[in-house]
Amino acid sequence: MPKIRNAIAAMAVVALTVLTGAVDAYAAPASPAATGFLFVYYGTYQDNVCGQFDQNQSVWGPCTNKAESLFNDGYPGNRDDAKVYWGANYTGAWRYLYNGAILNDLHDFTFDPSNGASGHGQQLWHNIASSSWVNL
Amino acid sequence: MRRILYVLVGAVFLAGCARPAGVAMSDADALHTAEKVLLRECMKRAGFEYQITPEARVPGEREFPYVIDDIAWAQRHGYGTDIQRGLEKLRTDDPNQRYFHSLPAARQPAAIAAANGSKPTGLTAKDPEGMVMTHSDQGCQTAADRELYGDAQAWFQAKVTAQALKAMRVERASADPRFAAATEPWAACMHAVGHDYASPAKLRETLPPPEKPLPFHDEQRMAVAEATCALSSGLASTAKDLDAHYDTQLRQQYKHDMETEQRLKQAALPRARDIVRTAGLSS
Repeated sequence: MPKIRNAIAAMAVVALTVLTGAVDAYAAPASPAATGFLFVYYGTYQDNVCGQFDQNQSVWGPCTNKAESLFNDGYPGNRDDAKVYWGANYTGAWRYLYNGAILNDLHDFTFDPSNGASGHGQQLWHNIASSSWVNL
Repeated sequence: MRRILYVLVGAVFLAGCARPAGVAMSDADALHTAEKVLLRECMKRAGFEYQITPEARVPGEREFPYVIDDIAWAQRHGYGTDIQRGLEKLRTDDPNQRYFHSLPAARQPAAIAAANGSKPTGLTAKDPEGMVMTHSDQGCQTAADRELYGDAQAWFQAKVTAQALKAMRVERASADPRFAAATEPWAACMHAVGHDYASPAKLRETLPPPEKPLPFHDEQRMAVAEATCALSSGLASTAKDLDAHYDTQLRQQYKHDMETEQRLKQAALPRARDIVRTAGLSS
């Protein structure tokens, strides 16, 4: 149920321009040459970019519940590690992704424990709805 | 689950700035700073800038992995929406992020490659639950780890394991039947004051995002109820006991891994302090 709600909320968001000048964007504007983002892919092993995020994303728009691989390609600095969540608005279970690290096939990963939160223990595959930047 | 909750007492501050002159850095600060010095030097050789900034924090930021159990904190911050906004600003204002975004688009891929390597392969780490993370064995970040810890692969494995163990501790504690049992009187307490939630985690999932928060009075009222009920129902003390219990259990179970992490850190410390001292950043 919550996943359906997340998907509906996600439809409201298309792109977000942020203070740094970087543009968080979904598939169409995403360029294969772009760097410095949390990349979200429709396919495994970095195939077919769905979104590129430089800031926190409370909803993942068309990438919601679609991701099959992730790459934290952010520039090092403060809060350069990524955290992805089962639910929109940074809710539900989560998993961390170090700066520079990649998860090639989300079949192989589950959400971390999260005090009994929704999504706990489920696969990340087609199951991520929001993300934020953190320090690990 | 929980959104991680933090306390904001005043403006954002830089942790390292609070250290009085002449006082040695903590081990953790020395390792962190040395890594950044090495990263800066490597990036400079590659033709890019990297600024060393003390680890920026929101003052008093605090985590409640199970339930809010500090009424005064809840009164001041509700669920910490103000903290979340402060944390987001840390990234937006970070000089290194600003520098990267100021580079011409054509130079940005080279900057990322210099920092993170040209492809994210070469280092792998399997966490205790069997999940395998991959990272480049090239680039300045890995070079800094290699120089500081002597073995970038071993350090990557150690930090992945350490991070996973933190999460496993919370998982085990919250999966313990005693935690579920203690949650029931908490939920009953919450119900009695007009909040129907099966658990703190379920409550958290109903909150709006920080950019569209509840009116503060409503957020504060719920958070204070959560904390008050956590203390009166015994959930707070049960969670604390379980957390300590599983911390001990995991330290035993993964003793070898934790010793490896400590060994790497201890071996790196003299080098780290030399690097920091030479850079003029520490006594």
